[in-house]
Amino acid sequence: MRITNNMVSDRVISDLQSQYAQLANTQLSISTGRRVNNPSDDPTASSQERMRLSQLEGIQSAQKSVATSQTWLNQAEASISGVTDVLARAKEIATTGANGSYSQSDRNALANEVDQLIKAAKESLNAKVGSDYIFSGTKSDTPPYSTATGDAYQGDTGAVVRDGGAGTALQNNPSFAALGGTSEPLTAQSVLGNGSASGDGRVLDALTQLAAHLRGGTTADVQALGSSDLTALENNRIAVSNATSAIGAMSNRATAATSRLEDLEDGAKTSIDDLTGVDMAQAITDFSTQSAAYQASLKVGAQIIQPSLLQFLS
Amino acid sequence: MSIPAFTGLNTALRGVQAQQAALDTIAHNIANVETPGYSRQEAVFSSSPTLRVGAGAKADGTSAQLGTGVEVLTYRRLRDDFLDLQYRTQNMAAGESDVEAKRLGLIQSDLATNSSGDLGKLLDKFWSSWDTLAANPSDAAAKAGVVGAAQTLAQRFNSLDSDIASAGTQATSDVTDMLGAAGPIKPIADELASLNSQINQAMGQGMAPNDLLDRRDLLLDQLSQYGQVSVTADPTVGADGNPAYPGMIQVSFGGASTPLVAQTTATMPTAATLSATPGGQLQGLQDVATKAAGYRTTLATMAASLMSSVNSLTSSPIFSGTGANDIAVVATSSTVTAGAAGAPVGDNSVASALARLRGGTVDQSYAGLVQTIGSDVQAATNANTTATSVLGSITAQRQSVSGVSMDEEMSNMIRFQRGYQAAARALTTMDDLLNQLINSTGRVGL
Repeated sequence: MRITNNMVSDRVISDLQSQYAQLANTQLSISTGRRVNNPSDDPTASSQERMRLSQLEGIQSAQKSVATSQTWLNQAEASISGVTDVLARAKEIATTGANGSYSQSDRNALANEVDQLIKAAKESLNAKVGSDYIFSGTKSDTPPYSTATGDAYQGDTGAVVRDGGAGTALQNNPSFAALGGTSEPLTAQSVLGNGSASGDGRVLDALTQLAAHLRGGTTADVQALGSSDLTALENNRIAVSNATSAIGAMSNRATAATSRLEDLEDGAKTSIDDLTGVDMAQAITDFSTQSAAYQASLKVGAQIIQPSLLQFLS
Repeated sequence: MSIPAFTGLNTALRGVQAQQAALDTIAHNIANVETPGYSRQEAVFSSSPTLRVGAGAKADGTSAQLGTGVEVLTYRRLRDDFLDLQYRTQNMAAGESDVEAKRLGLIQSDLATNSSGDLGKLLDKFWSSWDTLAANPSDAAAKAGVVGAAQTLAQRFNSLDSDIASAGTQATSDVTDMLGAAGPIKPIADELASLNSQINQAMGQGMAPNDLLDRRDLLLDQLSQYGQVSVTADPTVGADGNPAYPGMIQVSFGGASTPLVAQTTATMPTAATLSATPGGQLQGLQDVATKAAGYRTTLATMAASLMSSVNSLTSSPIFSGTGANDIAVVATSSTVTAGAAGAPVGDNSVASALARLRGGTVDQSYAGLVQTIGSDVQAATNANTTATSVLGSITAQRQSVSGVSMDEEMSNMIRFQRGYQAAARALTTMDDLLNQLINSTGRVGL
């Protein structure tokens, strides 16, 4: 084949161009850490990456949701322990009041303390996370009890269900075996009840009965303090303790969800990296090789273009 | 029997003239070493018609033919027509794929992961805003977040649609511009028409218009990047059965039924008269317009599916509109609710249901769009790489035939210079002989 000057210089230039383009590509991969910088670099991987990114965003979003649930459960646990304290104190008062040597004025003083305990129990369950009342069921904008409405529960019995990620759900007000044996979501009603008027036997009712018996002064009243009141308080204690275990169990589920979501997040990130990430060691090796080839081409190109017969003719 | 006295002088003179012509051709080659489209030329030598010497020229008394030197038969242009055709085919493919790769590449950069306009990312954010609302159903900030995410998403749908639409419109109007009076094709067609007349004139006078032919081939090469070029000799036949206009060509372009150049007339095609597959950049532009319309359809379907799936779940609509071009947000933070109409504020059933749409039809069809556009750009880029590399190898082959090699010209120059010197010496020798004959003959003993 006849080789002419322009062929050589065209070839030198196009080779240098393609080598430089390769170098630029490798450099881009290294600097972005991505093998796929445009959908056209690998359309399938790009499209799969899009779905994985969507999945990842969902996982991260679920993590936030689980964290919120965890906050609710922690707050619920603290509030319920307040009710436990109230019940413990009420039992002491009932036992003390049942003592026949106490005078009526002593019992009245105890009854006043019970009134305070009733308030304390209601205040404990008026707890909020952010702007939400956590013991009002799904009527979270309404406090469970207000002074205007007395002992009547203002919320509803709805379950507060939140996303736990990967198709699971967490109940921020877990169901537990309430007094009377029914399984109810944890609300102020299922713990404290609707007060004395309702006769539901729950904490508020039991405490109101206790106060009434303390104030009553009859022998029957004093007897009731040591028997029916104590039993009622004990039964409520058991129910509240059920609630505490339910919260603990749900809290464990939230923790499990958190760690599962972390695993999923790691998995999603790894798979995105596998799809579009660059193998650094490989890329840097490629870069060195391409760089050496480019420099060699430059040197050879410079030498092959210069000489011509012209220089050797006198 | 006798040879004329000045025959040798003429023979030597022809030698000097021929070598001189060859040297002139070499100078022309060297001067045009960098001229685009130039084909090297060479002076083709042939021995000139012999002189018949009458009977008795040889010892046996027969006649003979005496050589009278050399003459230039023609100035040959070294070129391979087959390579020209190959070059134009590949140049056409390169033109088409180049336009597609560049223009679709621009659309694609709107979709690249991590780009600010990544619609998929905005979809993710939209679903996440519902997740946030589901976790905090009564939170006013979460509702405002939903509205904000929806607005960003709707605006991006609008702007992406208008970006793609304008890429399509631009491509269509570029086709018209390219075929218009100010486009690149018109001057080529006009020059081809005028070259037809010049070449025909020169050929009519028996000349080989090498440089005009080079120019014509170069123009045809240039034309081929815009569309399909096919060249035939002018079909008009004269009364004698030979071509009526020797040297003229008829150029068909872009599959149009009327030739672009016929004899000395240039007729510009219009977008309507081009064939469906005009080839080259024109076809690239048409493809871009068609594909952009396809992408827009996908995008519109996606927007419609987003609107219907979201609005069907919410009690008061989030989006209004019919497609990607007019999708808008009608919800405000006071109309967004996490739960069903009339449900307590803690109800998050709607927000949860919406958040579960993540990864559904809409996301999948966006991922599909990314794949489609990515594949289109990849295919165009690959086609361009292939065409460019084949073009490079054809160019090299053409250069191999037609290119000027300095080394070759230099060594030829020395050859012809020596030839010239020798012919000139022969002339001098003849002159000496004649001098001897004229001035010294008959002067004996002086």
